[in-house]
Formats: sequence, structure tokens, C-alpha cells
Amino acid sequence: MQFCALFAVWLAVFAGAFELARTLLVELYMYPISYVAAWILNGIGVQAALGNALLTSGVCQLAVSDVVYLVTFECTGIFALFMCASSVLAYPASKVSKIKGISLVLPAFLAYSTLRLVVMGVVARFIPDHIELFHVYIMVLVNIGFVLLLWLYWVREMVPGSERA
Amino acid sequence: MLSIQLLECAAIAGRGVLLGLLSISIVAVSALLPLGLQWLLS
Repeated sequence: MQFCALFAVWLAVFAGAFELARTLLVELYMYPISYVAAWILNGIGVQAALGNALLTSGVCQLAVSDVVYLVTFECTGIFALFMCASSVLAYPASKVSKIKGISLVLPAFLAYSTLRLVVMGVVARFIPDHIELFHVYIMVLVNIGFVLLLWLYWVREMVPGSERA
Repeated sequence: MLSIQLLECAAIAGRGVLLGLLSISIVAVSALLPLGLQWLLS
């Protein structure tokens, strides 16, 4: 019960911080992820171009073949990251374990979100008919699974047995 | 002491990156393989 309440509190804290630092997060989180994804796509032979004309509105344009993705915060998994970080911070573990958890979750999401955009780029290039399937169904389910995987991995591998609830 | 803890955090971060890459790669391969085969055969 305490975990649920703390989880909600941390989510609210992240939501507030997100609203306050939206512009900063565009530059520090969304654009770098989109940039690296476009770079990887070009590296593997899929022509991709990144547009930053709508960056002030919090949107990146990732053009792959005939498809132009409007990359938003949702696409970069930032809200799933907030969920995962909240579940780490709300868990009744020591501060050291929580620092380890955030050290695990943040880079994991950066890598995951970048490769997720690359996968969407590959889908747009080779099987554009399935964009909807991947974007709306598969990736959403995978996001939830990834949050659970990371949290459970942290609890099992990094939180000492004596601290587990 | 602090440097050891920083090193430990860096190692954990590396593990996080690997977990992230591995997870989405497994999903990509398992989801794209059948569709790729379908695309090749069509």
C-alpha cells in the first residue's frame, strides 16, 4: 500500500518536472535519441533524415523512405522511463540500492528507445504496411514488458535480500 | 570509496545499456523475422 502511494507521488513529481523542463528534455533526451537513431539507420543502409523544424513544439521529424515519423516524447519512451524510475524510487530499499536502480534504468531506456526508433525506421523502409501494427500494438506491449523486466531485474539482482519487501 | 561506487554505477549503467539493447533486439528479431520472410517470399 505504501509502495502504491509512493509510486503515485513519484509519478506526480516526474510529471511536474517534465512540464517544467520540457524544452530541456527535448534537447537532452528526445533529439539526441532521434539523432542517434537516424545515424544508425543511415549506417545500416536505410536512408533517414532528421528534421528539427518542429523541435520547439516538442516534435522531431524522422523521414524514412516515404514515411515521415513525428517523433514525440511518447515515441522516445520517456513516460515509461518515469514509470520505471518511480517504481524503483517507491520501493522500500536503501538509498544505495535506489541509486543503483536509477543507474540501471536511465541508460537502459536511452539504449532501448534509440533502438526502438531504429526498428520503426526499418519497418517503415521494408514493411510500411505493418507500421500501425508495430507502432500501436507491438511496441506498446514491449514498453510495458521492458518496464517490468528492468524493475524485476533490479529487485532480484541489485536489492539485497534483507531489503526486499 | 567514492570512486569505487562510481565505477560500480558505471558497470551497472553498462549492464542497463546491454539489457536495453538485448530486449529490443530480441523483440525486433522475433517480430520482424516472420514479416521479413513474408516480404521476401512475396
